[in-house]
Amino acid sequence: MSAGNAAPSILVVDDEHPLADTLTAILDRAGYNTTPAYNAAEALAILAELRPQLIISDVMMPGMNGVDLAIEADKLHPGIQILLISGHAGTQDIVDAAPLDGLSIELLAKPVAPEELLSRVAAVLGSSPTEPTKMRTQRRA
Amino acid sequence: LFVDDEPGVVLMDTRPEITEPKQDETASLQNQDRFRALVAASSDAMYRMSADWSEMRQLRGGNFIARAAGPSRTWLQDYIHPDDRARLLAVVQEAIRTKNIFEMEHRVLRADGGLGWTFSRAVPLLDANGEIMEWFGAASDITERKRAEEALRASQAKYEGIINSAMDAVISVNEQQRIVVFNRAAEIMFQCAASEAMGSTLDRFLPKSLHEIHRDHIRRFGSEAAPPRPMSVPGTLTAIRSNGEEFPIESMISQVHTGDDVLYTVILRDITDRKQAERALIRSEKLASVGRMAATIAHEINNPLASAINALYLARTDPALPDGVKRYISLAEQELARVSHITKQTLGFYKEVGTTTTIDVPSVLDSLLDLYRPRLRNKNISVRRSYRSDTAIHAVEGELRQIASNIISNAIDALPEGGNLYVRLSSPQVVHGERRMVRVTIADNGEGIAPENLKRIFEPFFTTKKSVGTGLGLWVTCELVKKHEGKLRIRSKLGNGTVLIVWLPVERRGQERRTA
Repeated sequence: MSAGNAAPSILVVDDEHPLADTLTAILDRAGYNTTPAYNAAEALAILAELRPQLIISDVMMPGMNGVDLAIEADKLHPGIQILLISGHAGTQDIVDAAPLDGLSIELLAKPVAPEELLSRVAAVLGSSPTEPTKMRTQRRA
Repeated sequence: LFVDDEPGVVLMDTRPEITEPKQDETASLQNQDRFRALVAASSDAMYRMSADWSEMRQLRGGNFIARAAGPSRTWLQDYIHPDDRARLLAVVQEAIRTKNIFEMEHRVLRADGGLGWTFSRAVPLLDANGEIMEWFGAASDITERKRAEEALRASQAKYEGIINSAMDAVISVNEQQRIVVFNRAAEIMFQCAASEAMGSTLDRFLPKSLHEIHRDHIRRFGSEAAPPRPMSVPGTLTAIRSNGEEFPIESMISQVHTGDDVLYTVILRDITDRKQAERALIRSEKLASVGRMAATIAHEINNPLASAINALYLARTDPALPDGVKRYISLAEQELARVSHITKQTLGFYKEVGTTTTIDVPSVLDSLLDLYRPRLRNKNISVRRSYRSDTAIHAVEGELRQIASNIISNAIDALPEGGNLYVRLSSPQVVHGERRMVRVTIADNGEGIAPENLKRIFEPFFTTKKSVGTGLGLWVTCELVKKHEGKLRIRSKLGNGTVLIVWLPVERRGQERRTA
C-alpha cells in the first residue's frame, strides 16, 4: 500500500476517543495518512481492507487488548510495524508473556510527549514524511 | 549387745564374768553363739573378718548374699564388684589404721547371682591391749534404695534436660514466691544466671504494673489443682531483662502439688520478634495497598493527561497561533510534563523506560542547587558544599535528581531564615564489605523532626507540612533509593536539624536487565 511517494499510513487504536482523535490529528499534521479506531475489533475490520505501515495502539482496552491485536495484525500483514503505548505498569509482563513468535513490539509509557512520539514514528518508519523522496526499507518477517 | 556408734567397742560383756584361764577361747565360742543369734534375728548379712581383712572368717544370713561355706581368703574376688574393690580396700586400710568403724556403700554379688548394693558397716573387736582381734560387720541390702535413687537421678536429669532445652523460659516459684527453677532459656531471656535468680521473687523480672496482677493471679489459682492457663492481662504482657529492657511476652502458668509443697510454674515466651514481624507485615501491607491505590489513580489520570498534552501540542503547533498565547500553552505543557513524570513514577514505569547512565553526581547536585536558588535566596540560606568525589556513578539520572531534589527541598522547608544547608559527597567506600558506594549527605540546622514523626517519615501520604505537603516526597525518595540498591538513613533531633544520608552504589547490579 505504500506505493510511490504517498504519505505513510498509520492506524491509531485507543478506546479513549479524545486520545485517539488528538493522536490522529498530530500525526495527520505531521504529514502521515492516519486513521483512528476505537477498539481492537474495529481496528481488525480496517486492517482487513488496508495495510498501514504502522499501527499505534493502546494496550489495555475492553475486549481484545493491544498485544493480541498486534499478533492478529501481524498474521494479516506479516512484518507490519507496531508501537504500543501503555499507561499500565503491568504491560511489559503481558508483552513478555504473549506468544510473539519473533514479532517485535515496541512499548512506550503513556503519556508520550508528542515530539517523542513523532521521533519514534519517524525512526520506526525509517524516514520522516516530510522527506517523501527518500527510499524506505521496510523490514519483513 | 554392742553400741555401734562408738569405735573399737569391746563387744562382749564376758570379761567381768569369766575368770577361767581359757578365757579367750570360751569367749570366742560364746561370741559365735551370740553371733548366730544375732544373725537369726537380723535381716542383714553378718560377717566376721580377720584383723587385717585378709580372711573372711564367716558370712551368714540375709537372703541377700550367698552364704560362705567356710572361711574365705578370696572374699574380695567372690563378693565385691571389680570396680569397687580398690575403693573398698582403701576404706578398709583406713579403718584398720584408725581402729575405727568401716563403713561403705558398694556393689556386691547377691545370692540370686545378680549384682546388688549393700551398706556395709564393721566394727573392730579389740583385745585388752587395744589391738584388733577381728572385725564384726553387718551388710544391709540397699539395692532397692539405690535403684530408686538412680531412677530419681535419671528422671531429674531428664527433667532438667527437657526444661533446659525448652525454647521458652520456665520459671517455678514456691508458695513464698521464691524462684526455685530457672531454666537455660530463662537465663538467656532475662540475661540473668540461674544462680542469681534462685531465691529471689519474680518481681525483678516483671514491670511494676504487673507485680500485683501476677501475685493476684497466683492467689486466684487457689489450692485446688487447676489446668495450666494463660496469664491474662489487658494489653500486651511484658517482662524486664536484667539490663532494664522491657519486652513483650506470652505466658502460661500452672501449679503442681508435690507433697505439701505447691510449685507455680510460669512458662514465658519472648515474642519481640513476632511482634516486630507483625508490625512489619502490617506496615508492608499498608504500603502495598497504598501503592496499588496510587498506581490505580495514576493510571486513571494517564489517559486524560495524554489527551490534554496532545491537544496542547496541537494548539501550540498551529501556525495561526499568536506568540503570546503560544507562551501560555508552552507553560501548560511544561506543567503537564511534570504531572506525567509523577504518574509514570508512581506506576513504577521507570523500570521499563528509565535507562541507567553514567552520572557525575556533583553536577547533578549543583544543578539542583541552581534550580532552588530563588528559594535559598528568599530565606537567606547559605549552602555549604563539600564534594570529595568526582567518581561517576551508574544510575538513572531523572531518579537521582528526584532523590536529591526531594531531600534538598525538605531541608529548605525546614530551615529558618539564615539557616545552613550542607551538601556533602564522600569518595567511594566499600560498604558492608561488598559494594563501593558514594555517600550523599544533605543536612540542615533547621527545626528537626519529632521522634514520633521520624518513625513515619517514609510512609506515603505522611506529611508535617500540612497544606503544602503531599506526603509522597520521602516515600518516593526511599523507593527510588531502594531501586538503586542504595540505602537511606535519617537522623534528626527536634531543634537541632536533620541529616539525611543516601548511599548509592557506584556500579549497578543487573544493568543488563531488559529495557523496553
